[in-house]
Amino acid sequence: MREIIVARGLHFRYGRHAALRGVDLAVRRGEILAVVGPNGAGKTTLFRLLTYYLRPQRGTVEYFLDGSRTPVREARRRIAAVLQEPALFSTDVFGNVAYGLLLRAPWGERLRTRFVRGLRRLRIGLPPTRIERRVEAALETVGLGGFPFRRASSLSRGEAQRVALARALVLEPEVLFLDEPTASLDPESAAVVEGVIRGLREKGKTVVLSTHDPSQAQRLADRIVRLEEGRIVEVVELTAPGESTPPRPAPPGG
Amino acid sequence: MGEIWDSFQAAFSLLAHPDRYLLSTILVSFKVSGVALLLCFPVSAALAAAIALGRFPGKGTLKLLIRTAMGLPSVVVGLLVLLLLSEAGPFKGLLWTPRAMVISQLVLITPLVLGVMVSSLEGVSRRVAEAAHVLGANRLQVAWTVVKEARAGFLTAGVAGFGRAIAEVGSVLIVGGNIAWADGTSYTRTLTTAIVVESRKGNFETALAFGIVLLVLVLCVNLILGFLERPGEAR
Repeated sequence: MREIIVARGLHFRYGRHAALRGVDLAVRRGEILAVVGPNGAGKTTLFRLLTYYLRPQRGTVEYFLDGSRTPVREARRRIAAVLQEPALFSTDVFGNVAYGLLLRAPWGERLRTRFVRGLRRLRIGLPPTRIERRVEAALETVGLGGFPFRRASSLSRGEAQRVALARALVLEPEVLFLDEPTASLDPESAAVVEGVIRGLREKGKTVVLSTHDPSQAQRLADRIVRLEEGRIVEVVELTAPGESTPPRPAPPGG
Repeated sequence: MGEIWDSFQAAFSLLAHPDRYLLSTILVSFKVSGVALLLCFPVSAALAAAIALGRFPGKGTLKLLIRTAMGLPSVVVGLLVLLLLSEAGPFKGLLWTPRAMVISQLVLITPLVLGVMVSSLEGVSRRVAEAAHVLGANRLQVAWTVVKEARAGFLTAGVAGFGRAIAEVGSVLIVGGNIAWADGTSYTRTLTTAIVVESRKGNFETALAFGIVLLVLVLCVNLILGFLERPGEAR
């Protein structure tokens, strides 16, 4: 299996607190990698370095999405992440989910989409735009079809987290980072999120998720990395390497 | 008590039939303060984004300076601008003109507008910037997203800046000279400086009328801006 993210010797400290002290990690294409560990182990910091939100104080993060080294700017366009808190933008659900698509769209399409959304608000019927179709599909995936006009601030925590997931899914990223995706979620939302992760595996996407729930890691992951006090202390292979879509018993109730 | 009541009545009748003096004074006030705000707002917005989102040495000191300058006494600003614009200063020829008044109001309100903008940007969660980043936004796009989250604070900054500009007396009196032509047309006379002059002359009803106009106009500006804010909230 090809390694598409290679992190070497990552160090990061916040002031005097060392969050990461020498982490080496390779993520393989098509795998679901779970990073487990107690709170404060450095999981979120590791995600911030892998997504280039923070720059490591020592060490490197490199992407190899097409075999050779992928430039940072391009790699960032081909990955997406869902943060531990939903951190939605204070607009409607559509505006949140369309955010990344609008960033990537040419300005003409951006203007057109805003214009059409404005008309729709006035209940003027128009055929859906490309961006609207993709947003609606992403919302269906997380079980929130028909939500586009809801204000982000009116959503429950579980719904908000699912919108945050849709916001990343709509970009069809090659690598999806999920930081504690089901922490403090209601069971229904948690089941939706786990279902989405399984769907991504079937499509051969790469998922890196962090969790403090060992049973969730066992349920979902191909490989588990245990992080403690800023170091990797254990790596567990759950499936034989080389199998891109390993057979797996259906989870109970899922 | 009766005299005060008479003054109010006279003031309202003046408002019902405004003369050239009243109208031109209102116009000068609005033009000067409006231009000062228009010049100050975009520059302050860009600076505020750079200060609030950037990481650089001396950031704390800079913010302290801005907060200190938020309370600059307007007469001191007027005096400094007077020195800069006087015959001995580098920008001679502008003194006693509306332009000089715009400059002094610009100096006066920029720290206020900037300070309110910076704190509203800092009130936006860092997670919002991170969320924008992990969805592929570059630095400029992240900054723009955070600015949009802080739009209510930016509106407040604008209103506060305009309010301070249109209500201040000290600096426009010093650098503008409170000039009105013989036909009653204002050149550098604003609502506030007119109040000073008219009350000194004993024309309390005129002064009061100017005061009422000032309050009503500020109220109107706030109402309009409040109305503008609502579609922004629903977007």
